[in-house]
Amino acid sequence: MNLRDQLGGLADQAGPYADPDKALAKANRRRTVKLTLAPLAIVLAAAVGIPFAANGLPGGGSPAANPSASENPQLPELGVDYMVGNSLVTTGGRVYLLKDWEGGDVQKTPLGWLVNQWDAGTYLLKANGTTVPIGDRFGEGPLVLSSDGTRIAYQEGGEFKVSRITAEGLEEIASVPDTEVNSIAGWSGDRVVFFLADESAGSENADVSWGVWDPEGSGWVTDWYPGSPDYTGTQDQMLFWDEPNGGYCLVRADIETGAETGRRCDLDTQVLPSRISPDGLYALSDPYGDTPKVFTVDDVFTDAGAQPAPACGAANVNDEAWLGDVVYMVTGSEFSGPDDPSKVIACAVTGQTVSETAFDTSVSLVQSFGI
Amino acid sequence: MDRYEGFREFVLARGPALSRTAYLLSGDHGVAEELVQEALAKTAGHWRRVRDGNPEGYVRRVMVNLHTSWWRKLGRRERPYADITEVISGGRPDSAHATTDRLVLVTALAALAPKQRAAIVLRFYEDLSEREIADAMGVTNGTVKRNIHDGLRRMRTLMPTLHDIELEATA
Repeated sequence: MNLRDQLGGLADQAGPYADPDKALAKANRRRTVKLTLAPLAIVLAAAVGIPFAANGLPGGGSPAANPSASENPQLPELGVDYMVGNSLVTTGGRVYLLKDWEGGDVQKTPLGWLVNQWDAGTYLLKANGTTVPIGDRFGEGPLVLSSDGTRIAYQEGGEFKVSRITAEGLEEIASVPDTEVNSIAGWSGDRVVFFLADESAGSENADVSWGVWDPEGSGWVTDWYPGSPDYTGTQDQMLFWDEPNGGYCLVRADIETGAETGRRCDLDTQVLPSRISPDGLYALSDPYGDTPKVFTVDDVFTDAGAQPAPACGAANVNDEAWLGDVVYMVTGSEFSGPDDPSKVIACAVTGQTVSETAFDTSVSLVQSFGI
Repeated sequence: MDRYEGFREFVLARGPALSRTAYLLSGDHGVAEELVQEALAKTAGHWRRVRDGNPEGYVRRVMVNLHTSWWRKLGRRERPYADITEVISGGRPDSAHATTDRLVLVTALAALAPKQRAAIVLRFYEDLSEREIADAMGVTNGTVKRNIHDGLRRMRTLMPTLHDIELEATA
């Protein structure tokens, strides 16, 4: 059975859904409403004293979020921030309603929440509810935060950029031309790790090597090391998984030389480093399995007998966020439907349950960086 | 200059392809139609900025993101096995074997989380590179790898007969 052919056959059953006249009519209606309401929104917001940040409306901006003044007893506090519907619920019990939220990513930094709201632009949401626009980045790729949450790496306007996050917005540190065959993998300390794809393979290309760029130091990447890793990094090491002959190996490499410094292929789990904590110290593996596991990365390289521990009875983990050596896991929502109950399990890397919190709907967790 | 100059021609030329992608993303004719029309309306709203770039890619990105957010808001209308009758009766005549394969595929796709499904559709139907998928989904290459890996694995877990798909698809 060939997946491409099968998908093609299934796609042939699609109907003629695209109607340009209906689409244009809808676009025109929205434009009319927007032009009519924008001045009114500015006046109304000014009258009630909501802080402004320029965010796409002519002549000024609009509040992207309104902090709730009181706690909502129906929204329990977790050890990490989370999203439920369009509400951002913080560990301090505050609730921010994200305007026009139709999905996107929220990451927590020392200066506030970096919100990449796909249909409404990207902005920094401060604790006082005001926002600082970062731009309409839709389709420009992700914003990749450094582990301390002070800088982001991203692609924009044909360049790779690294910028510092300030209370006033982004302050560019460095940029290099976007080579089209590179992509941002992540951070390792102060450096940005890139993938390099095999351009000769056309659309079949795949990342075949990785290299490191120091945005505050020397020039572009000079050395590329073999490997097709998923990625996470620490200050001086990078971690990736390798699949030699269909097996799963956790590999550690020196960030300066690319030399492999550790390899474990006998771990009693499948290793997916995307679930590794932002600081690279801890890992959650096999999240979609019946018995996800947790472990301290260094332990499995220094102790040949060390094995991951079951992750507190969690199964089918759909989202996760790390806080120190505790991983918060959402279970039971993604595949059973967003209106079904879900549960957040906080699990220490030792496998000890810290807490369990039930929700009557789906939630997603907000990862903190540098907090 | 007409604000929407070239939009109608674009839709007439690329609408069928976009419709096919929408159907694979959603697995439901009604949702697919809403997906395409909403994405086109949003694209029309930004047409002057989009038209000189890659408008088809823009619409595709909107559809992927819309589908994910709708799924979270409204739930999944498509259910495993729900489309069996439709699959059997719809489209061109199929052999019994091909129809069975199609049913297996529909069921397996319906079991995926929306981002996994999007990654698999964009990779194996649209034939996009990992980076292009990352741009469309607004995630890192690593997350794309993860979604494809996890999606294929889940399909194979739920439908053991799909094992051959993974081997062929990743070969």
